[in-house]
Amino acid sequence: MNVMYDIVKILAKLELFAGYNMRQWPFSSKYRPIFSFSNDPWNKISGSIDLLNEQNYFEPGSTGIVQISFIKGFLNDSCLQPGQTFFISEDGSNNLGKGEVIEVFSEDS
Amino acid sequence: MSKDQIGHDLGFGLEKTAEAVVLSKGTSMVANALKGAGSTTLFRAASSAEVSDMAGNGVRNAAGSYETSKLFASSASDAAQFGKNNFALDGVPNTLVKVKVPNSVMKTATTFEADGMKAVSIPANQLPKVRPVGLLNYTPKPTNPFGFPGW
Repeated sequence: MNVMYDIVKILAKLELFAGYNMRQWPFSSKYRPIFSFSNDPWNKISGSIDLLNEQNYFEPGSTGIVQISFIKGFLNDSCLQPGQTFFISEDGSNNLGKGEVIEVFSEDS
Repeated sequence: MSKDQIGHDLGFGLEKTAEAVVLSKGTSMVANALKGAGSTTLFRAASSAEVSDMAGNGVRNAAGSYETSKLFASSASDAAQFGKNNFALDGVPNTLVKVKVPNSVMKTATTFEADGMKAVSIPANQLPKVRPVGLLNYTPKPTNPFGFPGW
Protein backbone atom coordinates (compact mmCIF):
# COMPACT_ATOMS: atom_id res chain seq x y z
CA MET A 1 0.00 0.00 0.00
CA ASN A 2 1.41 3.37 -1.00
CA VAL A 3 0.59 5.68 1.90
CA MET A 4 1.18 9.36 1.25
CA TYR A 5 1.90 11.67 4.12
CA ASP A 6 1.06 15.31 3.66
CA ILE A 7 3.08 17.46 6.00
CA VAL A 8 1.76 20.86 6.88
CA LYS A 9 3.98 23.46 8.54
CA ILE A 10 2.96 26.47 10.53
CA LEU A 11 4.61 29.37 12.26
CA ALA A 12 3.28 29.80 15.75
CA LYS A 13 3.80 31.89 18.84
CA LEU A 14 4.49 29.51 21.70
CA GLU A 15 4.59 30.06 25.45
CA LEU A 16 6.15 27.32 27.57
CA PHE A 17 4.73 27.42 31.08
CA ALA A 18 6.97 27.42 34.15
CA GLY A 19 6.17 26.24 37.66
CA TYR A 20 5.00 23.19 39.56
CA ASN A 21 4.08 20.19 37.37
CA MET A 22 5.49 21.98 34.33
CA ARG A 23 8.73 21.34 32.48
CA GLN A 24 11.73 22.38 34.54
CA TRP A 25 14.16 22.07 31.64
CA PRO A 26 14.16 23.51 28.11
CA PHE A 27 13.31 21.51 25.03
CA SER A 28 15.24 21.45 21.77
CA SER A 29 14.29 21.13 18.08
CA LYS A 30 12.33 18.02 17.07
CA TYR A 31 10.42 18.10 20.38
CA ARG A 32 7.20 16.18 19.69
CA PRO A 33 4.49 17.11 22.19
CA ILE A 34 0.78 16.38 21.88
CA PHE A 35 -1.26 19.27 20.50
CA SER A 36 -4.90 20.03 21.12
CA PHE A 37 -6.47 22.96 19.30
CA SER A 38 -9.06 25.06 21.05
CA ASN A 39 -11.61 24.59 18.27
CA ASP A 40 -11.12 20.81 18.26
CA PRO A 41 -10.02 20.03 21.84
CA TRP A 42 -10.73 16.29 21.82
CA ASN A 43 -8.53 15.68 18.80
CA LYS A 44 -5.01 15.17 20.16
CA ILE A 45 -2.28 15.01 17.56
CA SER A 46 1.48 14.92 17.60
CA GLY A 47 3.55 17.57 15.88
CA SER A 48 7.24 18.34 15.66
CA ILE A 49 8.53 21.70 16.89
CA ASP A 50 11.57 23.24 15.23
CA LEU A 51 13.32 26.18 16.80
CA LEU A 52 14.21 29.12 14.57
CA ASN A 53 17.16 31.50 14.26
CA GLU A 54 19.73 28.94 15.38
CA GLN A 55 18.10 28.83 18.78
CA ASN A 56 19.21 25.68 20.61
CA TYR A 57 16.77 25.58 23.50
CA PHE A 58 13.31 26.86 24.41
CA GLU A 59 13.21 27.64 28.13
CA PRO A 60 10.24 27.19 30.50
CA GLY A 61 8.66 30.56 31.13
CA SER A 62 9.65 31.91 27.72
CA THR A 63 7.62 32.89 24.67
CA GLY A 64 8.86 32.73 21.09
CA ILE A 65 8.13 31.96 17.47
CA VAL A 66 8.56 28.35 16.36
CA GLN A 67 7.87 26.23 13.32
CA ILE A 68 5.63 23.21 13.81
CA SER A 69 5.10 20.29 11.42
CA PHE A 70 1.98 18.17 11.47
CA ILE A 71 0.74 15.21 9.48
CA LYS A 72 -2.20 16.79 7.76
CA GLY A 73 -4.54 13.83 7.87
CA PHE A 74 -4.77 13.98 11.65
CA LEU A 75 -5.53 17.68 11.73
CA ASN A 76 -8.88 19.33 11.23
CA ASP A 77 -8.45 21.93 8.44
CA SER A 78 -10.16 24.54 10.58
CA CYS A 79 -7.17 24.39 12.95
CA LEU A 80 -4.88 25.65 10.19
CA GLN A 81 -5.99 29.25 10.35
CA PRO A 82 -4.06 32.20 11.74
CA GLY A 83 -5.33 33.10 15.17
CA GLN A 84 -6.27 29.53 16.14
CA THR A 85 -4.96 28.65 19.58
CA PHE A 86 -3.66 25.36 20.94
CA PHE A 87 -2.17 23.74 24.02
CA ILE A 88 0.73 21.33 24.21
CA SER A 89 1.13 18.43 26.63
CA GLU A 90 3.19 15.27 27.04
CA ASP A 91 0.45 13.12 28.53
CA GLY A 92 -2.62 14.39 26.71
CA SER A 93 -4.00 16.24 29.73
CA ASN A 94 -1.48 18.35 31.66
CA ASN A 95 -0.99 21.46 29.55
CA LEU A 96 2.65 22.52 29.51
CA GLY A 97 2.30 25.44 27.14
CA LYS A 98 0.00 27.28 24.79
CA GLY A 99 0.35 28.74 21.33
CA GLU A 100 -1.29 30.59 18.51
CA VAL A 101 -1.06 29.96 14.77
CA ILE A 102 0.57 32.91 13.01
CA GLU A 103 0.91 31.58 9.50
CA VAL A 104 0.41 28.38 7.55
CA PHE A 105 3.40 28.75 5.32
CA SER A 106 4.05 25.54 3.48
CA GLU A 107 2.46 22.31 2.57
CA ASP A 108 4.53 19.49 1.11
CA SER A 109 3.28 16.29 -0.36
CA MET B 1 -18.84 -30.93 81.87
CA SER B 2 -17.87 -28.15 84.21
CA LYS B 3 -18.57 -24.50 83.55
CA ASP B 4 -14.83 -23.96 83.24
CA GLN B 5 -14.58 -26.66 80.58
CA ILE B 6 -17.48 -25.16 78.60
CA GLY B 7 -15.85 -21.74 78.81
CA HIS B 8 -12.54 -23.15 77.68
CA ASP B 9 -14.09 -24.98 74.72
CA LEU B 10 -16.08 -21.89 73.72
CA GLY B 11 -12.96 -19.74 73.89
CA PHE B 12 -10.99 -22.25 71.85
CA GLY B 13 -13.76 -22.33 69.23
CA LEU B 14 -13.89 -18.55 68.98
CA GLU B 15 -10.11 -18.39 68.71
CA LYS B 16 -10.11 -20.93 65.84
CA THR B 17 -12.91 -19.03 64.07
CA ALA B 18 -10.95 -15.78 64.35
CA GLU B 19 -7.84 -17.56 63.09
CA ALA B 20 -9.74 -18.85 60.06
CA VAL B 21 -11.08 -15.37 59.30
CA VAL B 22 -7.60 -13.83 59.55
CA LEU B 23 -6.14 -16.65 57.45
CA SER B 24 -8.73 -16.27 54.70
CA LYS B 25 -8.29 -12.49 54.69
CA GLY B 26 -4.54 -12.99 54.55
CA THR B 27 -4.89 -15.40 51.64
CA SER B 28 -6.95 -12.93 49.66
CA MET B 29 -4.46 -10.16 50.48
CA VAL B 30 -1.62 -12.34 49.19
CA ALA B 31 -3.67 -13.17 46.08
CA ASN B 32 -4.32 -9.48 45.48
CA ALA B 33 -0.64 -8.68 46.01
CA LEU B 34 0.36 -11.32 43.48
CA LYS B 35 -2.22 -10.00 41.04
CA GLY B 36 -0.82 -6.48 41.50
CA ALA B 37 2.71 -7.76 41.03
CA GLY B 38 2.01 -8.68 37.40
CA SER B 39 3.01 -6.59 34.44
CA THR B 40 1.58 -5.18 31.25
CA THR B 41 3.30 -5.33 27.87
CA LEU B 42 3.56 -2.08 25.96
CA PHE B 43 5.44 -1.04 22.83
CA ARG B 44 7.34 2.02 21.72
CA ALA B 45 8.67 3.23 18.39
CA ALA B 46 12.17 4.44 19.22
CA SER B 47 15.08 5.86 17.25
CA SER B 48 18.37 3.95 17.19
CA ALA B 49 19.83 6.54 19.59
CA GLU B 50 17.03 5.89 22.07
CA VAL B 51 17.40 2.12 21.70
CA SER B 52 21.13 2.40 22.46
CA ASP B 53 20.40 4.59 25.48
CA MET B 54 17.82 2.08 26.74
CA ALA B 55 20.37 -0.72 26.49
CA GLY B 56 22.79 1.14 28.73
CA ASN B 57 20.55 3.17 31.01
CA GLY B 58 17.09 1.65 30.92
CA VAL B 59 14.00 3.62 29.96
CA ARG B 60 14.41 7.34 30.53
CA ASN B 61 13.85 10.69 28.86
CA ALA B 62 16.65 12.37 26.94
CA ALA B 63 17.59 15.99 27.62
CA GLY B 64 15.63 18.44 25.48
CA SER B 65 12.93 15.87 24.79
CA TYR B 66 9.94 14.74 26.86
CA GLU B 67 10.44 15.50 30.54
CA THR B 68 7.25 14.80 32.49
CA SER B 69 6.31 11.46 30.95
CA LYS B 70 6.95 9.05 28.08
CA LEU B 71 4.47 7.68 25.58
CA PHE B 72 3.92 4.04 24.68
CA ALA B 73 1.50 2.14 22.46
CA SER B 74 -0.66 -0.69 23.71
CA SER B 75 -0.06 -2.84 20.63
CA ALA B 76 2.81 -3.50 18.25
CA SER B 77 0.68 -2.43 15.29
CA ASP B 78 -0.10 0.95 16.89
CA ALA B 79 3.59 1.39 17.74
CA ALA B 80 4.41 0.64 14.10
CA GLN B 81 1.98 3.32 12.99
CA PHE B 82 3.48 5.80 15.48
CA GLY B 83 6.87 4.87 14.02
CA LYS B 84 5.65 5.62 10.51
CA ASN B 85 4.30 8.97 11.68
CA ASN B 86 7.62 9.75 13.36
CA PHE B 87 9.45 8.94 10.14
CA ALA B 88 7.12 11.15 8.11
CA LEU B 89 7.80 14.06 10.47
CA ASP B 90 11.55 13.82 10.96
CA GLY B 91 12.86 11.20 8.50
CA VAL B 92 14.44 9.15 11.31
CA PRO B 93 13.64 5.41 11.12
CA ASN B 94 12.36 3.80 14.29
CA THR B 95 12.63 0.34 15.79
CA LEU B 96 9.86 -1.21 17.85
CA VAL B 97 10.74 -1.87 21.48
CA LYS B 98 8.71 -4.19 23.69
CA VAL B 99 8.60 -3.26 27.39
CA LYS B 100 7.13 -4.74 30.55
CA VAL B 101 5.42 -2.26 32.85
CA PRO B 102 4.61 -3.37 36.41
CA ASN B 103 0.89 -3.15 37.06
CA SER B 104 1.63 -0.91 40.05
CA VAL B 105 3.16 1.55 37.54
CA MET B 106 0.23 1.12 35.15
CA LYS B 107 -2.00 2.49 37.93
CA THR B 108 -0.14 5.79 37.57
CA ALA B 109 -0.39 5.82 33.76
CA THR B 110 -2.84 7.88 31.77
CA THR B 111 -4.36 6.65 28.55
CA PHE B 112 -5.64 8.85 25.78
CA GLU B 113 -6.07 8.89 22.03
CA ALA B 114 -3.30 10.50 19.98
CA ASP B 115 -3.17 10.53 16.18
CA GLY B 116 -6.24 8.30 16.26
CA MET B 117 -4.54 5.58 18.33
CA LYS B 118 -4.44 4.62 21.99
CA ALA B 119 -1.42 6.13 23.71
CA VAL B 120 -0.26 5.26 27.23
CA SER B 121 1.62 7.93 29.15
CA ILE B 122 3.94 6.74 31.94
CA PRO B 123 5.04 9.45 34.40
CA ALA B 124 8.77 10.18 34.24
CA ASN B 125 9.37 9.21 37.87
CA GLN B 126 8.06 5.69 37.13
CA LEU B 127 10.22 5.08 34.05
CA PRO B 128 13.06 3.34 35.94
CA LYS B 129 10.55 0.56 36.73
CA VAL B 130 9.77 0.00 33.05
CA ARG B 131 11.83 -2.87 31.66
CA PRO B 132 12.73 -3.19 27.98
CA VAL B 133 12.43 -6.88 27.09
CA GLY B 134 13.12 -7.00 23.39
CA LEU B 135 13.29 -5.42 19.99
CA LEU B 136 10.86 -6.36 17.26
CA ASN B 137 12.56 -7.10 13.99
CA TYR B 138 10.62 -4.45 12.11
CA THR B 139 11.43 -0.89 11.17
CA PRO B 140 8.23 0.92 10.37
CA LYS B 141 8.58 3.26 7.42
CA PRO B 142 5.76 4.56 5.30
CA THR B 143 6.01 3.66 1.64
CA ASN B 144 7.35 6.67 -0.24
CA PRO B 145 6.12 9.15 2.38
CA PHE B 146 7.00 12.23 0.43
CA GLY B 147 6.18 10.97 -3.04
CA PHE B 148 9.83 10.99 -4.14
CA PRO B 149 10.34 9.31 -7.53
CA GLY B 150 12.37 6.11 -7.29
CA TRP B 151 11.94 5.80 -3.47
